[in-house]
Amino acid sequence: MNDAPDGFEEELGHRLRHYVAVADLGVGAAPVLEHVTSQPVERSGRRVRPWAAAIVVAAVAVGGSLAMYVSMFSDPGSGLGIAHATVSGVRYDVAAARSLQVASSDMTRYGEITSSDYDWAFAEPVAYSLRGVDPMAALIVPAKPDVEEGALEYFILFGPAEAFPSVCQYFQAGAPGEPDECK
Amino acid sequence: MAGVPTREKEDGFVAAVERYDGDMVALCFVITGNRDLARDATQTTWLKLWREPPKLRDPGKLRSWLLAVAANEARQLIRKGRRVVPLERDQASSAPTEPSTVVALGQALQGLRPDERSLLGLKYVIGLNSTEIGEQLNITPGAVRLRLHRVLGKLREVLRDE
Repeated sequence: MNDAPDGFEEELGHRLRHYVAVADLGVGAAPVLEHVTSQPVERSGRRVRPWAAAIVVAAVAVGGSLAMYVSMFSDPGSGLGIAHATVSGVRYDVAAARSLQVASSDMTRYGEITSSDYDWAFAEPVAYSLRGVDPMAALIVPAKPDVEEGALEYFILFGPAEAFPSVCQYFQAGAPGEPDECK
Repeated sequence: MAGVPTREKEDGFVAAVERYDGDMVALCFVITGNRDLARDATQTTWLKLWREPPKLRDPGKLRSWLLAVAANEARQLIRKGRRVVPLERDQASSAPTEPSTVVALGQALQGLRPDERSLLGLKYVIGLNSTEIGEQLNITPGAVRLRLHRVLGKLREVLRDE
């Protein structure tokens, strides 16, 4: 065995580079710098203002397109990194939850969202626990009424504990937004 | 420390991003197979560099440090992947718009372990040789070639029937 590639390796290398190229992964240095310089310094108390939110805002400003705004916003994990929210000192990942069906009796106020990339999309900076679901696994946050013209009612926050299958009881079976883990 | 960006060296940081970000996110994409996770792993790496620059004796090793940290971040994201992949994402919906060879390769890669995908990324996308990969993984060049041989064997098997 040596480093000289055979035909299969050469073809594999070509295909891998193509695989990466078509993924269109670049964002440029400016958003990266914007992100690192806008992160809170532990002792400064600066407000979280991550790069993802900055880019969305920039996209709206430059494009002036509500469609672009909604498209990017509707998928907090898309393109620019995973959105996060901190509740009671615990970091959660934010996801849109369109097929979530929750009654008010299932929700209990859990805690204030102290920082998030998407706080401007939350109806209020408060997360709720769901009956039967470990709050360290998942919480929900009502979306602002005008988000996606009301089509998106909740964001779900995934925490460090395992959310599935306990959270599945709140997703409509067979609906487009039903997580794969619940199918 | 020369070559490592600090808050006072914003220009140096930007230069490092412009120089290495592409390699980092490409490697992370090979490892995760997911644009968002790849971008997130890369961004976390930049944040680490910004906040706590490594004390490198050789500034020329910055690229290696960045790639190693980014790959590690990518593997960590995979471990918690079910939580970080957005619920609305329909992985299959984008497949028909991509060439079948790209889809097939992506599927074949998913059959490998993350560390095996990392090895392929370092070798065939970043273009490191066995010695450089060995330094990354803290193994000998011979061990790198052996691992690559095994991974290639797996891929040959999977891609043979295309």
